[in-house]
Amino acid sequence: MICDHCKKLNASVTIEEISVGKKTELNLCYKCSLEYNMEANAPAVLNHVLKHMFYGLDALDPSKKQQKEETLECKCKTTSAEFRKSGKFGCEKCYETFEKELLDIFKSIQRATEHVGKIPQTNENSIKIAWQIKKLEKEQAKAISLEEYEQAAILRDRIRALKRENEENKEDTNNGMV
Amino acid sequence: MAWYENLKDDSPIISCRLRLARNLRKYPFLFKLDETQAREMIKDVTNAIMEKTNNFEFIDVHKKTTIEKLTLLDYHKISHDLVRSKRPSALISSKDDFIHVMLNEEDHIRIQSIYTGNNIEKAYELANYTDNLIEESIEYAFHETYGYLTSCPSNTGTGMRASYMLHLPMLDSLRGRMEHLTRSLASLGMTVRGLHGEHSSSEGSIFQVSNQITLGRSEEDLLKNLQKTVNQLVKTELEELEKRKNKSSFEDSVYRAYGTLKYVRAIDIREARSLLSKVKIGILAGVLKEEIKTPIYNIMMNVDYGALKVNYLDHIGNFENAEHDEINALRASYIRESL
Ligand SMILES: [Zn+2]
Ligand SMILES: [Zn+2]
Repeated sequence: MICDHCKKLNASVTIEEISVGKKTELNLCYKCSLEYNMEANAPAVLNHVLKHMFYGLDALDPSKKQQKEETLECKCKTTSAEFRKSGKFGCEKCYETFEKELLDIFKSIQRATEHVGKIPQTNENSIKIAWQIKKLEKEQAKAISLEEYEQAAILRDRIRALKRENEENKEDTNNGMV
Repeated sequence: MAWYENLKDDSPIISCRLRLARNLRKYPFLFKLDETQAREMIKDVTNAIMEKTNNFEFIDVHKKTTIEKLTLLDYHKISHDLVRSKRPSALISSKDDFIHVMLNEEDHIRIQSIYTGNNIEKAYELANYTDNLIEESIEYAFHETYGYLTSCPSNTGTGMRASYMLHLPMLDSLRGRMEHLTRSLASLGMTVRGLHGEHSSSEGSIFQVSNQITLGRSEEDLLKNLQKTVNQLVKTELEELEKRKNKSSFEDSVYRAYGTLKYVRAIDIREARSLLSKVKIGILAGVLKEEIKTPIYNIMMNVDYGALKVNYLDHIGNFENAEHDEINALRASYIRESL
């Protein structure tokens, strides 16, 4: 067996990774195994997801050309092809440019699409309010679908109040900057 | 005191690490960062830390020799990526050596904390403190819905990866059991990685368990989940050890390994790891009664090619061209001195 990394020497070490219910093996020569960093390496499963996400099952069939693959380019010059190859974004904006792919990745390796953890202190308040608004908006939509209009109106007023609060906070900080 | 000076052989838990990945809003991510921007970014973060405390020191990794870089690497202060990197990069370390901030690795900032034993909460506390310190004067790339934005979407959200290094030779010898266990852990959002030799018999039985998921759960939840997982693995390992440790075959295999290492004249890396693993479990079981000078995991770290190269460079001149026999002899003498 040939080393998966340098593709030159004989593989003598196997690194097994079990992640998201998937077992992957990386076969490395002795030299490359010393360079393998358990801590830093992205989970092998990410590569798997990337490959299938862009090409679908056609990836397994070399006779089929991937014609329908669309090519996007972010303002930082990262293209779909580049992202597919490296699994890395070039800038903050890439998160919007490649949103569709991103959500697929999140669903398969994160099993979630929304952050609930730490918030930077500097904008902690406004983000907490924004999260609160989002939650209320969901409740509001549910109330409307159940035809509970009174409840929906109460929620609408609370949402408005929170939005106003956030606007005012923003103005305050802007004034403070000047 | 450096983290590895605290290593002990009294638990299957060797060490725990925690890292936070952060990026500055002001610059593109690493792969689109040019050299000038990289230098400015390093300056920004360095100032943000140094202005507020004098508990940290700045190390210009870019200007270090390869040997110096390898030494930093061996003690997990920097990563392989940073050693190889041609880009401007830096390391800011706390003087007590528990916090290392890598600049310009896969993300602009990687805050890392390492402890021996079961101390992941402490590691988080320190990393979090450093994160807050930097954030006082720097705006991070943060998204209302996705959280902290990282260059790889496998880190988005909390940007936090917490991991444990475990020595699990008993579980490892029951491959079916270990596989079953790790699969059920994976379904809980954990990643388990292990190193195995060519003929399935394990090499050193060292496993790394870390959180796979970084998004959609709070830092506290992720840590709690990881700790629960680790406790379960440790408990099972110790139960298995309890069953076996009084058998004369166990004592025999421990002393055989010890005897070999004590008098060996040349040894390759695989045999060294496997015998050291037996000595380590012998100490934990209380079966090996000899006085050992160095924590076994410390020896395990140092028998690698990279570390031998650093420690014995003077003896051997140009290591790249040294015969394997010569390296194996050096390794053997290092082990004999350390035991
Ligand atoms: Zn190789
Ligand atoms: Zn971009």
